[in-house]
Amino acid sequence: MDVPPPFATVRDLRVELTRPGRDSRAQQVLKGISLDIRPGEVVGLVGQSGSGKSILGLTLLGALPERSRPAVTGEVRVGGVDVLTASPKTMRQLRREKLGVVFQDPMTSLNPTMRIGAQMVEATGSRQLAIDLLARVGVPEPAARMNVFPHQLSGGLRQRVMIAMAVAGKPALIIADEPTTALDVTVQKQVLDLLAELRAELACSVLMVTHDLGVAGEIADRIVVMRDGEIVESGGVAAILTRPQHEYTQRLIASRISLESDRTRPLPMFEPSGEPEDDELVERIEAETYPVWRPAPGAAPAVTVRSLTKTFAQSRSTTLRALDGVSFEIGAGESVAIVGESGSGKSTILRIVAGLETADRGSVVTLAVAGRPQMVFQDAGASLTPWMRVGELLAERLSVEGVPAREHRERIERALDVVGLDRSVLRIRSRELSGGQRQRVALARAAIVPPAILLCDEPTSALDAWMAANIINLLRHLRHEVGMSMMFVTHDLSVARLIADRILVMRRGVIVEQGAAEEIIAHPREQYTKDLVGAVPDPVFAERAA
Amino acid sequence: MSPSATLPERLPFRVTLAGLGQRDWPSWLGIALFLAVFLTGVLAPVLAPYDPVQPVGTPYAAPGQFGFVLGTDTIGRDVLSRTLYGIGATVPLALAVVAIGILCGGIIGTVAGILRGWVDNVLMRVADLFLALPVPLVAIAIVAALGGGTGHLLFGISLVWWPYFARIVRGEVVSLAARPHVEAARMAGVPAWRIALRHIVPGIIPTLVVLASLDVGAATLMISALSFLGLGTPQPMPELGSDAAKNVGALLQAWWIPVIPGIGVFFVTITANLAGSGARNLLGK
Repeated sequence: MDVPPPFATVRDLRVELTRPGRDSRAQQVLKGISLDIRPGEVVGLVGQSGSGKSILGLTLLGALPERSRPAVTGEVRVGGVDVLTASPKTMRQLRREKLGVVFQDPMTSLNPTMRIGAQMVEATGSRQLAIDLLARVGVPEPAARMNVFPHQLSGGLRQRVMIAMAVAGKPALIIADEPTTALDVTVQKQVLDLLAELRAELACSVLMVTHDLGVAGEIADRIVVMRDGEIVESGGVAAILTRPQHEYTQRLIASRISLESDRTRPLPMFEPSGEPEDDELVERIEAETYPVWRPAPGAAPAVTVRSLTKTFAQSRSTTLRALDGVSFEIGAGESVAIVGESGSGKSTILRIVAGLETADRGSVVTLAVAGRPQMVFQDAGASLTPWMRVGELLAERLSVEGVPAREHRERIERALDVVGLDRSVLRIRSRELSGGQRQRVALARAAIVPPAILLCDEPTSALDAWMAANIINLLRHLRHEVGMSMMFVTHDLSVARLIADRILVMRRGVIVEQGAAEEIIAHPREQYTKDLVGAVPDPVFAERAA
Repeated sequence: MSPSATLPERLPFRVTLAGLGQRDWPSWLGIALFLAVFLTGVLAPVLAPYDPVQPVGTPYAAPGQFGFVLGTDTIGRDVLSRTLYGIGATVPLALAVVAIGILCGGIIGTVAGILRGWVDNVLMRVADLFLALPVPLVAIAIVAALGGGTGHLLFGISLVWWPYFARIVRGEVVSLAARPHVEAARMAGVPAWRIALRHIVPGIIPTLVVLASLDVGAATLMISALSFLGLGTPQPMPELGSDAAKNVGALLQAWWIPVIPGIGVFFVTITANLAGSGARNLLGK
């Protein structure tokens, strides 16, 4: 059989970037990458943040950021053009005729001041073609949507528009950089399906850059695993997912949160490059087992929520009923996940219980003997005031709860021990901490005075696989050590299953289904729940089953 | 950059102090030039070859004549010495105007941004009122009403200078208050005054530094303009604006007498602006 020549070839690519800022030394972010993308092939480029995977995508586009003063050696040929030496004009032509790009957040790559229609017509050349294309990528009422601005569309629709623009020129290669990371699981599933369909229709190649092995496994033919600017392993999807050769790939797969993860044991942890080693806590966590939670007889519930109703005004005439009489209880020491798509009302409940929002009707009663409810934010690190020192942040929380100053030192040290941080971080400003340290400090602050309930807002959705496994382990460790009640809001059932004893499924402001976590996943009754379960990308499971 | 009616609610860039470590030589050069001019003015008593107030030579000596580097004025005082002392009088005054503006505007903007509601409305409408008036005219009117002199000049200009800072600081405070770390502090039960002082205000300081440094040049121009109109430090004390004005009649016979103080204003303003852009480049991202 004749093998067609690759559409894109990368040979011994080395890229050095100088990031503007305090530390302005050149850093080698790609260290000798060689890669072929054959016509019609979907390559999943997988790695953690900072592995250089996005830089590789940008190099193929000839779009490395000028301000980082890139120094590039090696060879990059895309569609017969030598990208590293081509003139700007040739590159523009190449991008226009042969390449399509989809970025993580279409809000930043679509022009916010132009109507969708005008941007689509720029890409397609005619209004009719633009409407047809929008219809093709599954935008409902495409003719009407031509007249709206990007911010008026939902995240999923914006990503569809972005994909429509990417494929407008019938590209030979689509470079998709984390195209589904900012989306709900169900929307992610739809977008991945769309990409797969378009690829079959256009017979184009796709370079899918992602931190999620599950996403790569869903649509790729071949997976390339990157770490620290190098390719550690590459091969067919089935081979990589079921028989990974390199130790790093094995750990990536093991730490992936899936519907199969062991609920009684912590996720395997490993240190990504650049994070300080903390073997002591990792060892302690790895020795833990998490027993099934049983309600203590006679204990008062940690939180009682009674017929909460909340309506938001959307415009002068229309309102949105975010919550429509929601009632539930969370037992002392119980962990409950509220699951649903965006707009289901799950975040509104969380913000009401947190006291950041007030309900129109209904009541929230929390256990009076414990500290006020605390929250772990979507991006735990961003919840630390950047210029404040860790010691001050922790002491502040103690003073607020009326802990006498002489006990502060001991309480703070105990909290640091629980999250495995050294005393020396107390004097460090939180903006100088690493991402992993920030997570730990945020958790220490939330738990230093055990709260009536610990609220978690999509604790993993903004994180790559390593950071997600890390925070889940920390949260379970915290519950193990401090014994708090917890309430999670997430759209990801695999996360919910791992951290919650009980799952509440929400849709349009009402709880449509609830039950023990395993039960809900194994035997969902509602179609909506079935869709949520089906949307979790779980190719490892699928490969093994096949 | 003088206050105008079409002010941005927020700066188009984010600012942090982290940028101070950058080796961005052109930006540092701008800052260094302004510091040099500032020091030249402050050290005038050491650097000036002659007494600035006493006649020391033949009137109308051209630059270079009789050893007077920049010549002498209509009554024989050394122009170089007067200009150096003039810079020494003008630059600290400009810095004081900006400092007072930043302080008042900063406090008013922070209070408005944190309390919101009617307090915000009242304070910002007052700021708008000031911004709607032609700033130089109001300043002139105030100083003219109070009478000239350094203190009145400072008061008059500062009074019209703060609303500009207040608007921008308020915008920054409002946007910081919506950030997760402030919500986290609220959830932690931190009292409102402490949230303001520890969790919000330190975040706007880099912005204030940039705003202030971009404004020193404009303040210099305004002070020199009022002083040109005879509303500043009274003669015979050296002052760049009034020196230029007093001798403008001599322009045709002895151009250097009014022009050199003018060049002094030009140097102060342009180096202040270079320093301001430098600070913005270093701190903004």
